[in-house]
Amino acid sequence: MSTATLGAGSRLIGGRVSGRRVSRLNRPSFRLMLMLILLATGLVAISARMVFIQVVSADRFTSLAAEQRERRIDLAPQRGAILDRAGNELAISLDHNTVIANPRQVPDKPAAAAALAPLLGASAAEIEQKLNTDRGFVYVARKVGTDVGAQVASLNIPGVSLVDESKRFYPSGSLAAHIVGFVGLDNEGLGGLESAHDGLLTGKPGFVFMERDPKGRAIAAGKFIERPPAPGHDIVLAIDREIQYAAEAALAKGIKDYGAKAGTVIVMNPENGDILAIANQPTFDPNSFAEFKSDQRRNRALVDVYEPGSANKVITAAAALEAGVVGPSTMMKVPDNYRIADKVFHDSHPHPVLNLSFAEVIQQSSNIGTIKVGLKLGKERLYEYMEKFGYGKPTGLDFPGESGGILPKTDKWWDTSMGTIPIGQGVAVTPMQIMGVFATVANDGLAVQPQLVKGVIDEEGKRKPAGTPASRKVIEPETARTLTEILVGVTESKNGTGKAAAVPGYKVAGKTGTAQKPNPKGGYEGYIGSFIGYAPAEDAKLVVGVMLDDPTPIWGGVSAAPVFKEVMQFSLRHLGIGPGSVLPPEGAPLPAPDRSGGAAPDPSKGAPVNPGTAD
Amino acid sequence: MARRASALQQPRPSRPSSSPARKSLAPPARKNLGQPARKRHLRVVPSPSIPATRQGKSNKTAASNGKRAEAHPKAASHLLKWTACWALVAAFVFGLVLLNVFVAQGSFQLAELREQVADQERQYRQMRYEVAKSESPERVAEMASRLGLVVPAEQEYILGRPRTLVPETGEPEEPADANMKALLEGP
Repeated sequence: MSTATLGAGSRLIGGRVSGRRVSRLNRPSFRLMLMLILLATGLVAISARMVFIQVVSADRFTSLAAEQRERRIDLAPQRGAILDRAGNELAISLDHNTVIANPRQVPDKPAAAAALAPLLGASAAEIEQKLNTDRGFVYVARKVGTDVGAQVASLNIPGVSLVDESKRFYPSGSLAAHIVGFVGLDNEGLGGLESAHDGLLTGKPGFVFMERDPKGRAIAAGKFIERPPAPGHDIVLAIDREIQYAAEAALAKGIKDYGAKAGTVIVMNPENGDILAIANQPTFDPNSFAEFKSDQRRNRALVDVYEPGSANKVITAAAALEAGVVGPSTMMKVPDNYRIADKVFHDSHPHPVLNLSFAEVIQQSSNIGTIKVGLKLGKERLYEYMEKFGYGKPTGLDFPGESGGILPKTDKWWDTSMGTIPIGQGVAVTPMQIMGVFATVANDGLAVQPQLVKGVIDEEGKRKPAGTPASRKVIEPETARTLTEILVGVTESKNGTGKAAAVPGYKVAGKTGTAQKPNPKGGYEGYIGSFIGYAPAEDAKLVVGVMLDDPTPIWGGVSAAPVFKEVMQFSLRHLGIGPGSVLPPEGAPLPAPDRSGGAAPDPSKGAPVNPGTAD
Repeated sequence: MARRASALQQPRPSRPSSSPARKSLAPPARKNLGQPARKRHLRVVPSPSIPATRQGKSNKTAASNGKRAEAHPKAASHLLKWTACWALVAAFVFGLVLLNVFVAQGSFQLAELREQVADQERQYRQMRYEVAKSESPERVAEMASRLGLVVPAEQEYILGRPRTLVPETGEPEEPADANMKALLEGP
């Protein structure tokens, strides 16, 4: 096309015919083509993006979407409670809030710290220090009360949120602390039964998996999978809360009165092995266990070993009676010292040569008389009975750190061992082991394995009792009853060493102990004063053992016996155990009430005297 | 739907009659050279042989559909069937939405109830703790001593062979022995 063909005054300007101003955009074909190109470009771009999203990066976007929409919340199980025999809570878990933060999302850290500090009971600087980190998660404060949690939530600080956690509480404070134990910050059992039965108490965690809307609510028709957590089992102990308190109070008083360093009290039912109380001093509060030294948290009744001293004479006596070496009235000449190998052994105090029955030897706790009986018995039989009574192995309570004591084999005994072991030196036992010895005698020679846990309550509330405790015959019932008669004389006879342990109205059988403590550097240093006994002696329902570390005076019959009396008296009254459970025969007059206070000795109640002598 | 119905009702135009219209729609390019493209391409030549629906007169056609439907009962029933189908689909969709709304409401209610249950359980545990704390022997002993209560220094026991004092017959039975009777009756 040329300008000549268009005529004068006409020329092409920019694709338009000058004068008629025909734009290319006015051409429908051009516009259609343009639109087509634009649409095609758009479609291609969208398609490309779709391919990119749906094919190339499908996995990434799927996971991103799932992350945004789906949420799995782990549900921590509620830790089971620890209850006493009556169902009173000794340990319980409560819901608390933990304040967490994503420091990257906290815009104004100093302001956030200043706002949180008064609520959390911490300094603003301390909280700010926690927030000044590159990490995406920090604990600001763990296990604060739900009321504090609500206040924190009301602050609406970006990046700061709450999670639920449970916290362990011990409503009775230090009561039975050594038995119950304690848990760590993550509710893991760290001591006592909390540790021994951690698996049972913890339960199984659950979770909730859901699709949620932007506000965090579950989408109605979305995925929702819930597996609720299985709460831990409650554990029912044999412990009686009231007796436990009485034992702890009496022990604390005894330690104060006699200036002892430490002490232990155990209360046990000899018939079924139920441990009704274990008190230790010094003690601690499991609610704030970290503030106490490990020495205070130690369950001395099960972990510590000591040389039982004169309390061990019960085994020597039982073995001698069972073996027929002596009878209760077998007379013996008892000097105040006796040489074995290169060592001279003494009685507790000097005296002329006495003519004592075997019963009196035990009642007066004569070392020399017992050594002489031990020598007649022989070390093999003595060892055999100590083993039968449970020395040298744990009691089977399955308590963390329980000791089995020390019982050397006879081939390891020294020449002088027959002068020490019959009177309870040279062997070591836990207070629980020596309790087992007395419980066996009290139970007519039948040893019942002690029990701390009576049963569990599962998540459905069903109570599953613990199995019947194992029992084994150690001595004949006749031997046990004879020994009981002898031991009643300890609290009732004129020269009995444990008269301070007598409980008015009851026949109490028991034995004092004043044992030397071995010094780790060699030799002996200090004493353990003890009294272990049972009542009513005719049909024993309770065994109580008291051990005081370094009391003043050192004698168990003076320091430990009064504590025994207090604990036994309270326990008998609390359990409604009356005296004289064996009533006089029909028609016989009832005995007059004993108003003597129980301290007056009655020689006629001692063992019948046999004129025969052991010497 | 109306368009489709009219298309079904009207007879298809025969091919020979449509060929002139095609010619008129596509005139030779040479004759129109120099004229605006708009006139060339967008000019529509109405053809009496082309159905009204193809001429953008659907409203008129739809209006006439009723009359035609009346005229053809078979077509009317067809229309009814379609309408019913659509109504059913609409009702189903509406029902589905309604159901979803109810489910959503229920879901929110369930979440609220779950929250309430958790809250009640939390309160129950808290109260159990408070009760245990209040019943703690140490606290009870402290309160008792504050009230002036003391542990009895002496205790006495009644020994005897008590029989059932009030048997099932309701008749009180004599105590077993005189001592017991005296003790029960008092001075």
